[in-house]
Amino acid sequence: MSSWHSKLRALQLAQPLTVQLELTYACNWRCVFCYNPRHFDRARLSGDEWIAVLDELRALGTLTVALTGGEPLAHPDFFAIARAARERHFALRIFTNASLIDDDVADQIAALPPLGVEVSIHGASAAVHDAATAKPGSFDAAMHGIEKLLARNVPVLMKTPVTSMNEHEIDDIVGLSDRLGVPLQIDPHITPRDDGNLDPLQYGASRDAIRRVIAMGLGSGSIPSTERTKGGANCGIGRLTLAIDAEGNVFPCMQWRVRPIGNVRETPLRAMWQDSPVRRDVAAMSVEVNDALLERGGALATYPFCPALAMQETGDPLVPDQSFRARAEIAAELRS
Amino acid sequence: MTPKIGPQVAWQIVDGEAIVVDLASGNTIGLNPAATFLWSQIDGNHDESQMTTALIDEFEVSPADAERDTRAFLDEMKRRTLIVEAAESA
Repeated sequence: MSSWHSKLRALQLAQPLTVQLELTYACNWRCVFCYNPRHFDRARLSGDEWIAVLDELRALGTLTVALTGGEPLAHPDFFAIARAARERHFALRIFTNASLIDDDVADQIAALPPLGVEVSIHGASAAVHDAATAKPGSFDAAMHGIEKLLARNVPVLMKTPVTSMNEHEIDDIVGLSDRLGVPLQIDPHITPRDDGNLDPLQYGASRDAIRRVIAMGLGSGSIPSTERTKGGANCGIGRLTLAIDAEGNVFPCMQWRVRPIGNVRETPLRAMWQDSPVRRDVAAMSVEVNDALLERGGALATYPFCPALAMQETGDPLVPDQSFRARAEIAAELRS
Repeated sequence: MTPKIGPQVAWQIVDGEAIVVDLASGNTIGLNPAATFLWSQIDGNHDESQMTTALIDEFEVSPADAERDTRAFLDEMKRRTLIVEAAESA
């Protein structure tokens, strides 16, 4: 069975193959467009509580666990959780700003080992990057962290959202990833905060910059596209993905914060996954979205769509948001 | 040999078949049901002979076929460094 076929079967069976664990809201950066509404935890899950969650996820059929935040390395039990994930044979991804990675931390990450470490970089220069993070010295700290990981053969992915602050550095950002010898993933979209605050959108890149990024294939080399068939799912929400925040609230995906499925402190994950009307509703919504876009046809039907982001911006997951419309139109122009 | 899963491996079962990820290369392979059964026996305690016996019991194959299939499976997994000898990594 190929990995693609496995993913398709998991989608059909509703098996949460991919899960994001938001270990903490705490972060040592203050990115001006951050989607997190706060930088502190009210009742953070302990390491032991996260490890119990990992046991439940293993039994539910999860393969890939991403540790994220906030800055996940800021969780005091980060390595106990990460090691427990690997002992349970999860494919482990770490989303970090890399600034807390010294030699000891790099050694411990390399020993896990993770499937990959994905590092947020917001510019090709310290001036641009540090302005975005509101943290002087953050660019140099991140570069040092990346170098320490690469010296230990840890796979690193550089992730950069293109914004009004860094769009003049797109070529240099590509050059930086080339110099580091790491793949680059550029995101043409800034998202609202998880609490619905739209302030981050003011940092959205210009249409020209978004066009350039999409033409680059967001770093992958090909223009993003999606194929739809009637009755298919738009995405894995409610079937393939789960996200759990620092306080144990469970969501059907990282972006869908409308209503939690439940909380791991109150309900076993399997019961949530099997019985939650929220999960069933979003799974059905994913099919509804797919069919609606298929019916519309044209540019909107062929570009990957996120109903959660549409929900944040339009209040209706079936109503495409303006930024999606713009990206879909640009992609169609580039294909023609 | 008494195999155990290698340190650079992640895996899970989907629809009765194992997906095995080689973290060193990022490559993923899928195992058929018989191979998945053998994979599930790999725990650092069951040796090759015990795995062969378990395969006979589960799939009602001849001892010769089970021995050959178990050996071929373990050789292939070892060649891909997805398993290691339990004693080596103890």
